[in-house]
Amino acid sequence: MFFTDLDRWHRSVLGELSRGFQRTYPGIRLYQNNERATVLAEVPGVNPDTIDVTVQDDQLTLKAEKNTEKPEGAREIRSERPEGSFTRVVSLPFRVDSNQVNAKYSNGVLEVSLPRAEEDKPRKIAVAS
Amino acid sequence: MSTAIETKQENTPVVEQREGRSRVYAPAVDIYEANDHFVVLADVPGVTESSIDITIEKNVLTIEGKVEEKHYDGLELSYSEFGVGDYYRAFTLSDDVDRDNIQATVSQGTLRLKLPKTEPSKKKITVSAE
Repeated sequence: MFFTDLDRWHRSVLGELSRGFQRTYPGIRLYQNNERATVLAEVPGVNPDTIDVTVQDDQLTLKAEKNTEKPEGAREIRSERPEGSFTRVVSLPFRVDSNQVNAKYSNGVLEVSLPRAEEDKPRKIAVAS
Repeated sequence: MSTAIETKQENTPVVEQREGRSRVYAPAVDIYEANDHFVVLADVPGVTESSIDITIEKNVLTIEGKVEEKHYDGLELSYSEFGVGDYYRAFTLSDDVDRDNIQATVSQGTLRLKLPKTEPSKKKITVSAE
């Protein structure tokens, strides 16, 4: 072994903890208010052309492929980065206007902004006296 | 199509608070060895060329990346599966890594380091007959 990893101790501990993450890749963060939401997902190293973002009602689906180009004739010493294609379905707090959804991918972070559908917004009912 | 993806997400802070800054995470890495070089790939989402530092001190190569947490006007963080913070990871290099010719690039949140190997310094000792 030519590389000695100084962080081996913590990897062995975290390896145990991270086993449950397989069905929830990539991890997300959800920001929201009553009118709109933003979902962030960390998907470093994926080909932007393979990213597929779809919205139906209150479900956001993220798909992408992460394939690392292995150096030719190289031997793998360590492999921790996730690889392959993944699909993640996120339940949103409200129904979304799918025509107004905006997604951008920069520096390995996918950011999807989702405005709440007009018909889903709370309406004030006038009380007649 | 959703094939299984091997995930080893190291998403727990290595160091809780460092110099009063945000939390620090160890990026996941792949390491390859070819005949004349090594390749290290590290996932550092949110990092750009200008926010990453790679240093070599003696035989330790250190990767440090800075990430600013995003804030959205009028929006509250209501659900979170990963923490946002800086990245830190260190490796010990073997003697056959050419320290002066290491190349580093960052693309789409992945750092790629190419570490050439030095020519093995062979020295032939002549044996003279007495």
